[in-house]
Amino acid sequence: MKKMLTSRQTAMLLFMSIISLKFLVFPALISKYSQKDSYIVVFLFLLFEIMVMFFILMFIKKYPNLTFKEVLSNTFGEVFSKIIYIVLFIYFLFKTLLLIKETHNYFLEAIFDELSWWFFILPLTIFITYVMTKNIKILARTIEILFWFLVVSVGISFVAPLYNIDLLNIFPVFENGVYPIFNAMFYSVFSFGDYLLLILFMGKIKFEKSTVKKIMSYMIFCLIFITIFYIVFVALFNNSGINHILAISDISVRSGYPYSQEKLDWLAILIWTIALLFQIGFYALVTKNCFDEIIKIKNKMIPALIISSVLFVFSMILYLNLELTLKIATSIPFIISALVIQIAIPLILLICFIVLKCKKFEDKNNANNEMILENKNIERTNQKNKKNTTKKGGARV
Amino acid sequence: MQKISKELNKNKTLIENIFKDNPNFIAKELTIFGKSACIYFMEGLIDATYLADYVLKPCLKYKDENFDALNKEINKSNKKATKNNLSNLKTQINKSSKSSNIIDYILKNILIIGKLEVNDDLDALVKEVTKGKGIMFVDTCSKYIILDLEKVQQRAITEPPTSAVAKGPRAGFVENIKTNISCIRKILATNNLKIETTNVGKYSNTMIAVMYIEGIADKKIVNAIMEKIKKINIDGIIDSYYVASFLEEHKYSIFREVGQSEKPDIVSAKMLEGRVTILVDGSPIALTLPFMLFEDLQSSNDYYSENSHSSFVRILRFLSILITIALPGVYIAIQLHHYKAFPLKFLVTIINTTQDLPLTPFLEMLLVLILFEILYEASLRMPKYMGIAMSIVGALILGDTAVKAGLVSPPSVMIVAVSGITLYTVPDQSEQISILRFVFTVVGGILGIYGMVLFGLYLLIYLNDFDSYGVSYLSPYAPYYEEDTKDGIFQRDLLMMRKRPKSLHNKNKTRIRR
Repeated sequence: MKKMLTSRQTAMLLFMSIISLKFLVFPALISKYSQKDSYIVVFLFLLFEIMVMFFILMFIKKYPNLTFKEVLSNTFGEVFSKIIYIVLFIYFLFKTLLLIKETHNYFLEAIFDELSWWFFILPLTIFITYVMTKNIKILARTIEILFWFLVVSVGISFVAPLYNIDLLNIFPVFENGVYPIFNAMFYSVFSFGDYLLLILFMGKIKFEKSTVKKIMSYMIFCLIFITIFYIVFVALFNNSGINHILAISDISVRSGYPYSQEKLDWLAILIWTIALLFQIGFYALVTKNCFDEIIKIKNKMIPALIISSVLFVFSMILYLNLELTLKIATSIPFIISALVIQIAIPLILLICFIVLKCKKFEDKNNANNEMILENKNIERTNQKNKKNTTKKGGARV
Repeated sequence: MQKISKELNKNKTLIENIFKDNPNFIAKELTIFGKSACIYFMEGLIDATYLADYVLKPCLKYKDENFDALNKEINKSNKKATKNNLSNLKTQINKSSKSSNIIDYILKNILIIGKLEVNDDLDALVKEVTKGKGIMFVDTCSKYIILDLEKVQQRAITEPPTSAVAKGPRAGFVENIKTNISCIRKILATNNLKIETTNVGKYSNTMIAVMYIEGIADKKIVNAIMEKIKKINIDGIIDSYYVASFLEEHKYSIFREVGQSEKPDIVSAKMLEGRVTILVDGSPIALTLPFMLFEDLQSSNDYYSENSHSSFVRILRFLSILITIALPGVYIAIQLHHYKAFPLKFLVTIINTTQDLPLTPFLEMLLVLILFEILYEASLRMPKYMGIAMSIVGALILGDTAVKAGLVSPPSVMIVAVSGITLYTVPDQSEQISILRFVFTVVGGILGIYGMVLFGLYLLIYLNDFDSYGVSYLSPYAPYYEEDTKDGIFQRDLLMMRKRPKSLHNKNKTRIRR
């Protein structure tokens, strides 16, 4: 298996996917259920995600060369692994669709007065198809260039209104008890579960000593970053958060500095456009990777064309109505299936871990590497011993 | 491979037949050791004084000498000398003078010019003569002597116009490959500097030299380059650009994949990092490989001035690229699709200046951009004395009068002017950037900011898919190499750059030892 992603690239891709659905409609959606406690919902959810990620990283540490497909095949067989990939394919396909619709809505509300549907979807479909013909490594390199530029700019756009915010708005905590928090968590489940991406990256990460530390530090930074955003959101809009469906733009408009008032939203708009379009490409590529595990087609273009056509047709159906999209995303059957996927996949991985351990399964490549390392160590100690003996000998002479 | 004959007359007929319609092809006949001989050369390509002083005059001394008698005499003196233990040195000298045939004797005792070679191949003879060498035939000898009589006609080593510096070395390459090699050798005085040469071009027979430092450069890259160069099958190589086209891996890309430089100091510095240099005879531009996009942000001036200033200038260059590419497109996108982004008063000003124009804002911008490119192209081709008149026509008539006549708006002219100035902060990338500027303007006009961002992302992904001989095109930022970023957009102190760039697959990683 060819290693493709460095720890830094993996962490950055995960960071971007985590923030993808959380800075626009989602804060308003979550405010509907939990109001002032929105940031607690996000914090708890992200904390859970990070814990799951830690477990996944431990698994990768143990079997650094095994892909998720190989893990499933070794434990449950080929058929079961294909079923899991079909489920993941549908899951990421819908997530891509949701992002496309959210982006379209964002453009209509924030950037364009008029935006023809064709003008939006046709270039996007071409872009998605192009991205899907590329390797995940290429996208990882792209985010390496954009990452700090995006993070700093997004940071500026929600730090600028700090002068205007009233931190007292976030209190009292648990105003309506704990129930609204769980309620909000239940209805917003679809915006989380990004650890599934890490599972799909299994076997593709160059695993080093510092990998776990590096990825976890990025994730903790992500947790702090998003939580601060939600605190600012609640502190700024109080109970009216539900009306701000373009959260990041609406926040940046309220800059505390008189000369930058109603001007900084352009920074947010530009940055968030880059972020959204990148994320659409990224999710589409992940969807295509799942498709590749289900049906193997040598030609890169064919699966890319199939998936972009599916996305095109579905986005045509959803185009007319953002409410319809959100309705689907927050409908009970959908939430339950998303929840099942998000919980079941890590559980399956846990079972695989136990089974592989019981089988005393060894990652061959890893074993080879360890053997080579051991041999090298032995050689080194032998050489050291030789040197020591010659030195001693020299002293005697 | 056709070999020459032992008979001089046969050879004469053969060679004179090959060069029959070349009036500057000269045959100088002479006698040496009582035998007929002939020297062939191209008039104008050789140094006539050199030929007279170092070839003809020494040969004339042996005009009527008997070669066999002379050889016997040498043999005798050798035997005597070996008996005398005190004259070891003399023995060695005389031993070397003992020759079995005339050619050998001429080489060792008569001709005292620098480089002499012996060959018997007719094809090689033709190549050597056309390159400015002299060829000497002696009757009854089955080989000929190649005389290095080449007259080096070259301009002086001056500062190249495209990479002028305020501080640092000012020497630039010239058209002569030997001079260029010696320029590099002067800086890198080491036997580890290796040069592999080959000749390419059916009619031009151009010499190409591949230079690298053994122990630093990756031999695999050197071999890959040599292999590609040897595979070139073309009628003629006029400039190094011809070779660069063969070395590029993406044929339809607008982006350069081979580094270019006119300065020996830059090329030497690149070789010290592990790169390979390609010199082409007749071209003052050296090619370097592998190439990364960020190399064009660096200037030789950066290394001879304060780091803080160099970093500042590099940031300015980077911003300039962004401004050049995006400014006209952003202006059009905002004017057509996102006019709410303009402050109200500014919007009113723009509306006032554009409402009576005969063209739409999009077409107006394209027109001004095209006019700018035409002006640039004309100023390049125009004789120098017309330059001032050209700038008056460009600035006053096309700029000021067109605005007054109501053909174009002042903001458009100003935006194109700004992007025109920023275009030349990175002159090596100006060709690519000016194409991208057009594309971004068109995309911005049709799809607004959305289209520009989409195309920008496409471009980034496309560039990330680029590899130049195994090195990522956007290195050291994608993939990220912390050590290499010390000479990236921000330039650190030389003492901090202890390691050679990781992104280049060089062998010896350490450049400064504690």
